[in-house]
Amino acid sequence: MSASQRLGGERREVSRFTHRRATTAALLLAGVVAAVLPARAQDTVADVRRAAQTALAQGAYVDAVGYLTQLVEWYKDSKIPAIIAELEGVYYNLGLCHLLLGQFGEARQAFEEYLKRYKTGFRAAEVQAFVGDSLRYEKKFKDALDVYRKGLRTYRNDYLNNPDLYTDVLVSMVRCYLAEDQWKPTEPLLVQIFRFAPDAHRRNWAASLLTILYLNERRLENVYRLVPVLLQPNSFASRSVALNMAALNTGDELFADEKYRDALWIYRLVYPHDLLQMNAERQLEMLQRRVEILQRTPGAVRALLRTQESVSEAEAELEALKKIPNYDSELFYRIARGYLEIRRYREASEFFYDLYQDGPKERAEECLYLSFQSAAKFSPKDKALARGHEYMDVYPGGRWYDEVTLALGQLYASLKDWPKVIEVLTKALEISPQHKDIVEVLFLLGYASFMEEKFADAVKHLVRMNTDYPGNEREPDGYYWTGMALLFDKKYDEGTPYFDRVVRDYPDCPFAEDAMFRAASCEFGASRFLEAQTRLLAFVRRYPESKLLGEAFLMLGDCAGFFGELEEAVRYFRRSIELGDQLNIELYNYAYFRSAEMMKELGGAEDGPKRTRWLEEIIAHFRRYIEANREGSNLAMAIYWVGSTYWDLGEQERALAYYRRAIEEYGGNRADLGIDLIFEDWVGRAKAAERDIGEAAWREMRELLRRALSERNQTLALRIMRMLFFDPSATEPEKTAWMRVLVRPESVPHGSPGVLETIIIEADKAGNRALARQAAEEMIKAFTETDYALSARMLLARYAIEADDAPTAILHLNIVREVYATSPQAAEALLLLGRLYLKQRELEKADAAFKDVLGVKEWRPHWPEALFGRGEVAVANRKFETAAAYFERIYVMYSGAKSFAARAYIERAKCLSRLFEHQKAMETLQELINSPDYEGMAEVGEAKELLEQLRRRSG
Amino acid sequence: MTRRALRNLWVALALAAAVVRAGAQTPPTAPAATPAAPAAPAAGAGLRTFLTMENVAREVFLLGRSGPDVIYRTPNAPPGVSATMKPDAIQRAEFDIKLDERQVFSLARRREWRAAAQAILPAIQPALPYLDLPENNAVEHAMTAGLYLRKAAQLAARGDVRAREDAPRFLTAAYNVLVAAGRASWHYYGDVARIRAVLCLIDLGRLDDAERELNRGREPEQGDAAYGPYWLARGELLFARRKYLEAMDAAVRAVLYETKDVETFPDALILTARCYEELNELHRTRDIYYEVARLFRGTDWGDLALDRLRRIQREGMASEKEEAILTAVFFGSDEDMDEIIKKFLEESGPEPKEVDVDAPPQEMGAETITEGAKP
Repeated sequence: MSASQRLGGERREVSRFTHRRATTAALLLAGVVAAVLPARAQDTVADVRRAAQTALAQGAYVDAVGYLTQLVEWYKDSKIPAIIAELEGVYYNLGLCHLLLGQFGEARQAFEEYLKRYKTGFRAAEVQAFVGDSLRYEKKFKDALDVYRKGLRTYRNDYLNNPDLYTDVLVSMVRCYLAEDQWKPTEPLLVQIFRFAPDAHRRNWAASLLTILYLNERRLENVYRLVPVLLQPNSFASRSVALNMAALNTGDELFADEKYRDALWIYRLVYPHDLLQMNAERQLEMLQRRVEILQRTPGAVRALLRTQESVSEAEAELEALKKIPNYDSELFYRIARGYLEIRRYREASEFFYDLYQDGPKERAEECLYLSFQSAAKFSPKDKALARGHEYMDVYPGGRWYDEVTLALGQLYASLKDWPKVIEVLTKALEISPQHKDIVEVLFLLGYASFMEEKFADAVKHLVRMNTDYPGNEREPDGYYWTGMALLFDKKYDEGTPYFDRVVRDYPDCPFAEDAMFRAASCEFGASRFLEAQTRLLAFVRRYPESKLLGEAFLMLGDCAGFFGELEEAVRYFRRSIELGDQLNIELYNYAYFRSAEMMKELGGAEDGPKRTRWLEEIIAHFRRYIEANREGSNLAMAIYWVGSTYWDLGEQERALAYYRRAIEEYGGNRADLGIDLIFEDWVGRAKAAERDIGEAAWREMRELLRRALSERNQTLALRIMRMLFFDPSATEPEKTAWMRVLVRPESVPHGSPGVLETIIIEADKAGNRALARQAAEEMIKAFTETDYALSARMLLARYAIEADDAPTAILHLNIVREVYATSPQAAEALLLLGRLYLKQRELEKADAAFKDVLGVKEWRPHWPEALFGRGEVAVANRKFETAAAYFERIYVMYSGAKSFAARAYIERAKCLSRLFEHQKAMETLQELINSPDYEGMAEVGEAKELLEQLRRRSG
Repeated sequence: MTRRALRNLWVALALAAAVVRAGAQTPPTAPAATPAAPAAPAAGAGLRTFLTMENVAREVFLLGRSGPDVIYRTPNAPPGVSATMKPDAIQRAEFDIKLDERQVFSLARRREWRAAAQAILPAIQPALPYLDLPENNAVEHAMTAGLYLRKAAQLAARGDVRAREDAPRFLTAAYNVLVAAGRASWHYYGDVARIRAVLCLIDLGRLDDAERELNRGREPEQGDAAYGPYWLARGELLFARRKYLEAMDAAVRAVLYETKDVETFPDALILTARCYEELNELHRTRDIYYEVARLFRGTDWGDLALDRLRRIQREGMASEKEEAILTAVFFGSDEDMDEIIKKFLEESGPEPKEVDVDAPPQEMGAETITEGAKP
């Protein structure tokens, strides 16, 4: 932008134009008036006086001049005070008429005569100003200034009492200076106008000119102080070309000096080109209307002159504006940049986005890019994501395509939205194969793939990164994450070299320590325990303060265990447990329980001090575990270990007492699932104990029940009742009473999973479906994530199927198959789902359910049924050939599943028959009939009937 | 302001509200130019007005409204004789209102908002029912009076307990005057006044009414005079409903596109500062208060911003160093804002430093001494 070159010229142009127009306006006014009408000889003084007044009132200044001159001629030498007094007004009006007619010399002559005669006259101060004005209109600026100055000195008090006139004089002085392009001397005058102007218009005029002055002198602090005045609607500032150009120019210079905040503040003062024009036009219209009103208003000569000068100014502004090309888009762009640079990203993002949508096409792409960049800096990230995608869609392969795609990928990475990272960056490489930041893109792709457990993809991207771009900044990261992907993909042999490379070639990189440990993990994973042990010991020596030490000792324990060095293994596990804070709860539990198993093994099977010592070690070991009670600890299992170890030590009474104490302590918490297992173990041991001990144990349990009942500990009481069924001394009435208490709706809210399971089974058995359903629903609600909930859901699904409530059944079955994906019940659920979908004619879903069963080896026993289901789906789809193949596969491969195999023969025959392969169908049926494996089955009889029908049909 | 003056103001406001209501609820129109008894009560001899119709200005006295029609009498009509005319026929209405603009200007410069409003209201009150008449000379004064009343309310709301009690009454008065100005659909002030009335409703906590009113009109387009006020009102409403993110988006639109209206821009800036604060971006809050304090010094907005800025600095709310811009698109700004603001606050005394643009009036006449010299 080259506003600086434009500014000086425009400013001069404006002030000169303004002056010229003011003079021209006055002359034009004179031109339209008729020639002077002199007084006639017969006119009396009163006639002339009256005629003068009439002419003045009508604005007939030429006539008025004639009459007033006549009066002066008659009375100028009079010594009569009344006449002298009357002449004051005559001289005043005569000067004024000349002034309004553009006869400045004559005006001055009349006014100077006035001042000579009436130096202290009541209009002397005003007349002095008119003398200055007349000189100013004649472009005698220096003389005019002298007159104005003299007036201010001579008539100081008059001016102080008339702020309107005082302001006018100051304004006139400023105009004199500006006409000669002298800005510096105007400052104190403008400050005075600003302070004392009795109206907003002149105050704003002064503020605008002061702003131009300050902008040109880079006195920004002063500019800022004027901002509230400048931002007035309909003000001079809102239409001043000079002010706007000065601001634009200053903004540019500040921007170039990287003073973005100041540049922004100044740019914001600039009115858009079109708005400036509109304001100037509107203002001109308003001023013209005001002139009309003032012309009708007697005694407002100065206001009229002032307004006429404003009209000329406004016209000049409009003329000047026409010569200035539209600067709006550049201005807006720089304002948006200003916001960006001072970190007002929200504002910047919106402004750039608007410019992208509505601004010039050649800058649209950059604006969208900058809008995205700005939006990326604040939260939430929705806008950044939307704009990033918009850029990708609108400008594929555009100038900033690489920057946008990488940043977008990084944004998604920061949100841990790995699928989106992969989607964006894969697309980026598709559009821009030579991406500017290809290393970073490949790294992110690799990392995101790793997080999504797409290990092969992760390896592919990371290997490409380090192969195609050797020496890149991400090289060690690449090797490390390649190793990690291979490690997690159980490709231990392939992973080790990557970790080794990090350790060897990048010893100072942040991953070196971890890589050394992971290399050992690979060896361990590959069951090369000796190599693992060697590497782990080296790791422990090299990084004695490592956060991975706990895990390293754990693996060392496992290695030692593998070599049969159980004592050493236990020692390592203990070291690992000492560093328990470094272990997650799974590893922590593993260390405790695995080492206990080893200690038990160390004790051996034979009684003796060694065994005793190790068993006592185990008890102490688990007491520490129970005492630590870390979140996620398996307390029930630990209690079991302590109890059973007491038992192994031959301390049956102590074992049972320990269990009982644990039951007493934890049994009231229905969420403590392990206690149900302890109960079951207690029952077994109480039964197996020596008779006296056993009986005492059962007695103690009954005592505990009484206490629980008296303390209203219903959860514990229900648990005990459930166990007391196994008490050999329990009577049938007792059992009946307990069963009544257990299997009732009131018990449901207090029941532990074991108790609820009992309620479900017993209620279902007794046909009390409402209670069974209530207990099952409670089980699902209270123990959602447990295996107990699984059987509850299966029960509810079964009930729903029977009640023809497919949606409910599907809901439960889907949860079973998703949450308990590898359980046998999941297979059962899938088969039921398949049947339900088949019944509802949702064939695709049905086939998918059956197919899923066939994908899990452990579900092999269910495969014949699943295949049969797929066959049925194929029949429903009228794909008889496919169906026939499924049915055939059943009796060929799973002949053990006789009922499905026999049924499959018949269904295949039916399919073949629908395909008009009657011969083959009859052979199939014959095969079933002939096979001794199916002898006596109902299907054989059905096959015979079918065969007969086919024979008849085929003749 | 004296107690009597205050009472007079309330009387004027009450009358204004009554007249506005009367204007809005008068019965259906009577035949044009037919002598008829005015449906709405005429105020004495009526409001002297020069109406321009078919390019001819004629003097009439406005007596009231009959539905949309204007009831008037001519200067020489016998007592009790009036007629009606359709507003569509009127090109321009120049009410004979006596308003001491210099006094108003002087009071406003001293930020005596109540007094400034009082100086306007008695003059424009008879004209309030006629602000819909095209090209009239009262609508801008009505708008100004409404603005001053709202400013008076805001000032009162920040004052002591007694002052705070006055705030709702000022707001209600402002609302009434602005609603009247809002009927000037011929002037861009009409839409602006309507939205400023909505701002009064928000200040009064009448959020549902405000929302209903705001949703009533069309959404202004960029370049409309009402664009900035509309988004400011939208932002204030959302902020009051604690929807800070949405409020920020609205406030940003006002900040970006209304930088030339002193009655909107600083308010919008302050709203963004408040939103930034709620969004826990305290460095930006600080920056904006600094901006307002510097650019609007000596105004209510400047005082408020300076106060907030001092609090932010005192409580160290933005004392943490900001992270460097790692992915700077260009060069980034290397300002140390903390240092700049500290210096600014140290220098922000009651006396401005270089040019005292608000100097006391006894210095008038100093130009003879200072001309040509640095002030």
